[in-house]
Amino acid sequence: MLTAYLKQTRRLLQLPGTQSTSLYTDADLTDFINIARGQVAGEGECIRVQGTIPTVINQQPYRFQDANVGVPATTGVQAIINIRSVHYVAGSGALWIPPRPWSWFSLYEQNNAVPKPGPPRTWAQFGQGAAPSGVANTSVNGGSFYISPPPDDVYQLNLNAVCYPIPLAADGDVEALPYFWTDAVPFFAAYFALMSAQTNARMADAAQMYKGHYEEFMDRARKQSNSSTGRWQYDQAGDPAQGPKMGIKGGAQ
Amino acid sequence: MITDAFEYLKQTQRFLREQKQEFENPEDLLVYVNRARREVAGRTQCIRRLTPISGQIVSVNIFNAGNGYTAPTVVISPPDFPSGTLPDPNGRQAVGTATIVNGQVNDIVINDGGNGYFNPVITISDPTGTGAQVNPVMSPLNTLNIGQEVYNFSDIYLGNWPGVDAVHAIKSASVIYANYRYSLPMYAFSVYQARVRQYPFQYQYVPAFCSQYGQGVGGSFYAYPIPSQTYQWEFDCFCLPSDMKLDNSIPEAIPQPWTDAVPYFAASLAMMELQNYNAAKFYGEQFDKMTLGYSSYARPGRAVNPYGRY
Repeated sequence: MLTAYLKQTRRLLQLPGTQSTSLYTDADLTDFINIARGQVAGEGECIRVQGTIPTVINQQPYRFQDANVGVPATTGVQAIINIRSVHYVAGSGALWIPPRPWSWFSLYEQNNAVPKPGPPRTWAQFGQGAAPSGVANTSVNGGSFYISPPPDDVYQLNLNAVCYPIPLAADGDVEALPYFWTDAVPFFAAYFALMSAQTNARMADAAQMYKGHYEEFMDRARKQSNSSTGRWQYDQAGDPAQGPKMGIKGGAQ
Repeated sequence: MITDAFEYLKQTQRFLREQKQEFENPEDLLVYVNRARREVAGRTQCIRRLTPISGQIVSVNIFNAGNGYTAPTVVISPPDFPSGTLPDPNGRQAVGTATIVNGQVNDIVINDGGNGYFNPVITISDPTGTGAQVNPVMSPLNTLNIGQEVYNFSDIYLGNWPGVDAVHAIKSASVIYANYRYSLPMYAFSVYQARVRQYPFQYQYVPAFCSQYGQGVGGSFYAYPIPSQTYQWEFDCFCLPSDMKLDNSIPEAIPQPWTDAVPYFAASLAMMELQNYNAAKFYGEQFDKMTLGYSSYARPGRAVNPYGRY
């Protein structure tokens, strides 16, 4: 897939064949492509995985990076960006755990000198985004969540997660981004490349590449990925009744 | 038909167009649903229960094991107070079995607790043994007790009615005395205090007056004269439902059609949270309209006597 991305990005930059290395090296373009793929995954929320993580007795914080979302080399999925919902396995099924904003969680779930352990009752995200690098990699500063009360047993948490892909280093590496979002990647990569040229003309081209083409293809990917029946019911599709619902003027989005 | 928490949540989310849960946490919606259910129960008085005044034998206490028993038979008196209600309107005979160890009654197992008992008598029949004495333990009954003047609503046993959380009002209270059921006149507590309860504890008889003191689920009744023995006391209770939970485990005590009104009030509360007061007002008015409508559907006017005479 990396070769296809490189080829399409070169076309957008009008650098076919061997001319590609005269302005942008393959290494640079590969970096741009991988950045673009991460951004598409985050914006499109198109890599969805049911991850799992077991609780540890009396441990409340859990890092996104410790969740099992499969083997990266096999699935192409690197790790979690955000978690949409959490269940814990109970009986022969699972029970939904209500989410709360951190401020709520802090006041009502952590304001207790002697918390009583039990099955998970609520959760809140603390650290934001994906796993950080360096020293912070061992902390909850990156994407993380807390559960309450402190677990009294080992519970398997099922995480409905949005993930980001592994960087592509070779053509055989697995691409986790689904089609149609892959079509948007070269536009974002070309945008980066044009930005790196540092000329006014190229900067204008970059803006067009982003605002014009990349966003158009992201929007198309969203629409094409949702059914045309009951479209508003699906994720990422705007609700035409949003304005009236919120008591504000405005039509369909 | 709405019968559980999920159906309430679904209907409320439909009203709010919140199937995607973008703005309302379902846990908060369930809080609003439960608040609405209490409102429905309080406003329409649709959860109504009569306290049990007869029931089952649940176990037996042995206070004298006797001697010389070889083949004991447990003899239980027939139902002495059939309830007139299903499943055993005429009561049901209880059955028990005794076990002996070294000629003494060691245990009595109630094989069938029966139904329609208030004051059952249990004896142990045996060709050789004598002296065993036992007391039945009854399922919870509502009674006036010797020397007790004050009765809290919160002490009323509700275990027979899953989904019922508390009694918040009592419409009437009847005493069973000499196989006769009569309702006690209820006075304002000030009147009761000034004119009825003259003797603090010396005068005991079958109660002839009562008065409510505590209010709501903290409510309490006073009965006077102070009871001289245990009497059955039947309350006509208005109840509040138990809060439903997200695991859908709590049954609904509110009967149809009032359950249909609940999501309107829940949606109104949710719209208040979303700061959309116009929509909140709309759903609040719909709730008023629906509860009134459902009450009129369920409570038709009736002629007291179809022949026009007393």
